[in-house]
Amino acid sequence: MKRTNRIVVLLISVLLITFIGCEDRSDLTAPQPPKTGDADFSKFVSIGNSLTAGYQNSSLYEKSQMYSFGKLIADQVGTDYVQPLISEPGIPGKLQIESLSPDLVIGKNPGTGAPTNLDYAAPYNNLGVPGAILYDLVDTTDYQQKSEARKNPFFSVVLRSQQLGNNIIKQALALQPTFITLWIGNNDVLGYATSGGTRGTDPATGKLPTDVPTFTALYNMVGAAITDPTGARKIAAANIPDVKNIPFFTTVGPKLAVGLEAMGVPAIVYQKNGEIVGTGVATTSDLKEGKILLTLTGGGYTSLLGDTSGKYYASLGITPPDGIDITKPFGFDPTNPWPDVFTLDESEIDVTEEATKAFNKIISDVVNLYSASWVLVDVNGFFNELKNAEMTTGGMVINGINFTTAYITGGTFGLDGVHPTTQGYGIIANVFIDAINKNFGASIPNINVSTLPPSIPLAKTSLPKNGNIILKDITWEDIIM
Amino acid sequence: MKKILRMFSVVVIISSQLFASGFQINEHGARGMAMAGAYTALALDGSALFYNPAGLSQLDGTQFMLGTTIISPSASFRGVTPAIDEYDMESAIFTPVNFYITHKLNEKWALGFGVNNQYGLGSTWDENWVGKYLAIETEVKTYYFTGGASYKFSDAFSIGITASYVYGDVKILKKNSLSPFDGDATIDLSGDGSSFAYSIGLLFKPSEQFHVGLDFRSGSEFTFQGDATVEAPSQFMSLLPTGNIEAPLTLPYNATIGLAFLPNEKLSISADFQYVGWSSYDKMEVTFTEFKNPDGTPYVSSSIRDYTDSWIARLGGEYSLSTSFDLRAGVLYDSNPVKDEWVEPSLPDADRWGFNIGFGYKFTPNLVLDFAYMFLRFDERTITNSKVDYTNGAAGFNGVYNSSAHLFGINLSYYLN
Repeated sequence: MKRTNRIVVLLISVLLITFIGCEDRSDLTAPQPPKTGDADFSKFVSIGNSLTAGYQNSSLYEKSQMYSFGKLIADQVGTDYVQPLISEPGIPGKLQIESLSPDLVIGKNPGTGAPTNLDYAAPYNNLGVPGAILYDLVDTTDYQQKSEARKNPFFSVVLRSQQLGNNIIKQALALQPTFITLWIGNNDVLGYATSGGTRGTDPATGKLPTDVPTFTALYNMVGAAITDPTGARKIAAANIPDVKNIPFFTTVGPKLAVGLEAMGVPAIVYQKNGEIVGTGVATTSDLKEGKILLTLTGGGYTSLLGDTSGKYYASLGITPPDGIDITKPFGFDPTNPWPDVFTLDESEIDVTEEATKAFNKIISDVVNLYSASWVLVDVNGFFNELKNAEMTTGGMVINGINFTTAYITGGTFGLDGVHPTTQGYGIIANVFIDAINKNFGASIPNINVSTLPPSIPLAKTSLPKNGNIILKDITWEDIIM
Repeated sequence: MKKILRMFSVVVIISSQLFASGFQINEHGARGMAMAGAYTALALDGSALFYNPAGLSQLDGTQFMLGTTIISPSASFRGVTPAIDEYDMESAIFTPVNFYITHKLNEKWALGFGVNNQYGLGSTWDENWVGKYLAIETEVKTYYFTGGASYKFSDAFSIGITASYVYGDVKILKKNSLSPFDGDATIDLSGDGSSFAYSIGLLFKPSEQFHVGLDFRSGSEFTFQGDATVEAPSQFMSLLPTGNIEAPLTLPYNATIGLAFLPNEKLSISADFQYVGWSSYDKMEVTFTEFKNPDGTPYVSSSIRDYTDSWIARLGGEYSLSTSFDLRAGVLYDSNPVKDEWVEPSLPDADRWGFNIGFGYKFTPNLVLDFAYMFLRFDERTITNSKVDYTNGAAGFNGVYNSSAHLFGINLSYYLN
């Protein structure tokens, strides 16, 4: 019996060891970097504005920067890409949803983030400066002075020191880039459009989009500066989307029109450019069809339409200008009109569209001039397709998600109505990747945008509020960056 | 706001694969288990109530049998393709119990009563892992309270039947994307239900050396009832489905044929083939009876399962080294019912081999200890065509699953002759 026991114990031990060693498991190999054809991403630099920085929800913060389109491309090709990261809740504090039901309440996070890698010894790979216009790429003004003068901290946050290069282009070239993305000029139109046509970036008046001769000269200057005569450095340059595809301009008007129609009100009276009293009439069909656009920043004031106690001016803390009679119904009487700053009327839309068209022509001309090493990234064309899909089939299905240009629910744009969501940036990165693949013989895989995290911020607590879309204390200066 | 509400309804898709061969437990007695469950033509102890109730007719006097099977599974997922990051299922121990009393009334009739857990187990993954929208915690328990009787027509032929009251208990916890918003909702569904099942077994003994056993165990239909609770950012609390839920579920039938060869008094060799009717499980549907769609109908979350029938082949042997010591071993192969495209981490199922050894030791003629050990070796399962989306859009949960399990069965039997 003892011998038997020993045999049994031995047998069981041997079997146990054998079993445990015989799990079915093979080693897996990590994915190889994709072929990039003629494009070399070993030194990859992005030049641009907030859209390049990865700005989302009126703010720049690490969780948005991690998904800047440049970072997404860098991850796809497997290259280093250093960014001026900013801690939560971003600079400035990001917009966030405070309540979804019964009303949509959007507020601004009261905190402020701080840069976390200011000590990085070289220029950043991501040189997207929120708020930058085309001129800022070549402007050699001291960054700290410029940040103060423009009330825009990002010149000093992103560019830091003149010693790293005394303008954006110099900093980019200091990295000896093998690949550059260039997406600039948006703010040369948006500065005008988001202010309802009351402010602008043209040097002469400051009330219009950047003038075409200036834009032409500057874009050609930038083109010449960054083009490598040997053609080894490749450049992907994106153009400027039409404002009619951006929810900042397309949300409030149609929504208001529905409300007005329900009450049997045919139109509002608005203040035309340069006027005090209102001579503009926006009918509900003008608002619905987008003949007259109301900005998202005006959304909070639509609830004051008809007010006869001057609430609009009181909420801004300003005295009503001479000629305004606050006892007349707000937005319905020529002497108390709907403000110009929230309105882009037909002539202003024309100015915006013409500027966009002209700038896009210049961008495409410069790309053609250097066609051996440049490729055009037709972001404008993509947003036109997206809008078209929205009008015809209700949206564009990408990786199983139905995207539209609609505010919040469309999934493409975040709370500021101008800047994409994380998934929206993924879509844009794919537009870049497609152009790079096609033109430079690369085979970089597209990003599955459904694997990128949804990104519209939720505030920690919700506040019960009445009204429609409420943007609290948010100015267009926050949005434009 | 209605629009947003509808959107959320769409994203709340309730999992999960509750059951499969991975959640079916066939180890309800250490003697049978040590022989890889090839026990339908033998059924020589109280566990006959489970393996083949006709076997009750072979048992003398009154017998008590009590035991447990300690199950220690492990599983990992590497992916999502093309990434090869590894995620491990949290380790856990499961202890389904079994208890049987049998009593021989006379030469013809014998009765039995027993309790066991024929379906069960669970899986837990980290709450923030890549598959958090598919599965975090999934737990299933069933209790079978079974009464049975056998009738012996002759030494060569007996029949047995059982009837079971079945109680089941399910808990599913996972996250849901609140796309396009930055946040998740944690959905906790729990419920219970009861059902009935029956079984019929036949035992033929054409000769001393050759036995044939047949056993049919019915499926059982459940309607689980319970409630859903949600943890989410406060902005969403009124918008997500909660409250009472109902979910129908049909457990499969099992049909088994077993053969046993007994060439001499010391040796028996047995083989079983078990067919499991899993194709009854085509979808998982949860109805939120208190949460209405915009048109006023209750909100229903449905997801495809599309299982196929599966089978298990078993081979076992027992050798008496002495009058008080039996040595046993066996091997089984279990095909799984889950198609590649629907494999989910709540149940990382795969075809598997089971290797068994064990022994029986008689302390006295009336007191017996049975012990069994089984190693379950799951085939590595590489999924390349997954239709299971792990995002709020379309991104298949492709990757590589590796699983294994150790099972230890222990039973004590006491005979009153």
